[in-house]
Amino acid sequence: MRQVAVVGAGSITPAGVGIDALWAQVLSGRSCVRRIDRFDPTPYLCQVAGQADTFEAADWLPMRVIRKTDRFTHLAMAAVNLALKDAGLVIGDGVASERVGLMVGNVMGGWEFAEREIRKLWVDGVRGMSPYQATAWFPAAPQGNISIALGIKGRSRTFVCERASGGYALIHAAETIRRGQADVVIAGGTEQPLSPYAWLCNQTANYLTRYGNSQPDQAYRPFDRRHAGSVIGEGSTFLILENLDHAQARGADVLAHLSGWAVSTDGYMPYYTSEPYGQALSAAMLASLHRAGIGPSDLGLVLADGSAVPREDSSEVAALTAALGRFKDGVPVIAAKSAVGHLLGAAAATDTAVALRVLEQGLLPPIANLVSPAPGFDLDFVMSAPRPVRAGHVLVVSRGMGGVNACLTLSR
Amino acid sequence: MPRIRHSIDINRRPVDVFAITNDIDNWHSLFDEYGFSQVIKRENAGRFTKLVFRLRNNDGAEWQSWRILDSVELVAIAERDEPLFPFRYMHLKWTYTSVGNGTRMTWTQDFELDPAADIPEAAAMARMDAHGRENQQRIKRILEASRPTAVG
Repeated sequence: MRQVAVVGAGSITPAGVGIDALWAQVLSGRSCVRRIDRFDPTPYLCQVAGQADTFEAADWLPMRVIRKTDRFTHLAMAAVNLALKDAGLVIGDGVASERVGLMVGNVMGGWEFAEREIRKLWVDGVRGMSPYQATAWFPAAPQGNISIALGIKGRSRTFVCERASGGYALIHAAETIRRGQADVVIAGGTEQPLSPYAWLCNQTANYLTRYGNSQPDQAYRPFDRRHAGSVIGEGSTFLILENLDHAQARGADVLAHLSGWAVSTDGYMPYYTSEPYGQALSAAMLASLHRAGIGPSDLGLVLADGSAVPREDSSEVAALTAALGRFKDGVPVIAAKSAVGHLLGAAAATDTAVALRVLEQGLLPPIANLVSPAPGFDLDFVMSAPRPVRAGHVLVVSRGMGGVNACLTLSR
Repeated sequence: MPRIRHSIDINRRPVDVFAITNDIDNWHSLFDEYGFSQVIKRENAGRFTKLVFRLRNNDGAEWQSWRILDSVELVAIAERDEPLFPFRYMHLKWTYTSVGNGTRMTWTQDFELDPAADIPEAAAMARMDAHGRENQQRIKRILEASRPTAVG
């Protein structure tokens, strides 16, 4: 049976460039969410976000690529380069390009580019528009551009599964390696929701908090008594997954094993809610552990989804309570998203990158802005300060609107 | 995750109890806490019916909710919509199972109070708990008193 190794990670987030910046922000227990200045947020209910302000596309990509692509592609191309560098891998050298795949998660597409061009269509007519509009906007644009830039010729796909998109991309990557369809799969996600129309879509999706505008760094409060919704942000994280035998043969450093995964669906009415008792999510958690050959008592921690949407927090706690059973008091629960913002399609890969650092460093970061858990949230949340941990296995939970659930188990 | 659950056995068929208790336009006669109840939108899709409705209680508070009826499984789920305050969410599930010749009707309320609500959680729970029991007893009395007499 082929095993799936994680051999590299790269990330551009509101915390900065690289996994070190992400980890430092998460470990601080503070949030870098800020008032939006990329466009005028005044007309919107939620006016705060995670902005990857240190990322300048021109530092990473030639102008001819920048001109015909959206920022969500720029972020992805940069994150993939960082991940490959971290893995010490050169496509076509350490691995044949036909044996390399690419799996991308995304929710929104490239609206910053598209909004500008659609305005030109209505103001100046067809000839005023960029010929690259369609290929810049569509959610598979990062996949296409990365494949072209790196010469990737193996199995590749883009997943649009709402906020669990990146989780589905990672799972499909693992299955691709497990089936022998690739030796290496670059997998993760990318998102850039900071443009007026994209922002409006997220507002109408009903998961943004409207109570954090006066104190942006305290707006996103997973599992807290004052949780009122997510704060989203831009960013991209990619991991390099590799057939363990292949990785060992080339002497790669193995960061962890992606040992288990599972998905489930609990679509519910109306479409923006999930089934409130967490039964389907709980089943996915247990199935992911089962695939990894472990049970709840073996878990060192859970990296929860932590959307801070009250009904979603509640059903996630219900699912975790059911899945962990009598071991729930011995399994610490952390959540990383409130430190940088929920990165939507990039969220699951970003959380997984944090989980890799937890396994490596033996430190549990406190959940940013969790001060007092909501009533009945009786789990061992890590609050206030980092806590040492000796973890061999971690469960990462990712969820999206319409009841898409993706759970991953990482093992040392 | 505050939860309130009540069950009561009613000496009527499950389909009847399901139909009568989900006839929202008549809730003012079934419940004594609602001065006004009106379905403002109804969508039918096979076994499922979605209702959007407005309620006003005797304190004058008014809100809109949605409710989905599953006429095969005899399950109703509902959520309070706007305004959500004083809740952060309010979800209801009503089930109707056959017990002997009658029905066991179970109401489950999952909710969270907004921290800005002016009523402590314990007091809110006690009030909702009492209302639930009283309403179920009242509904049992009404339904059993109006039970059709067997013919022939």
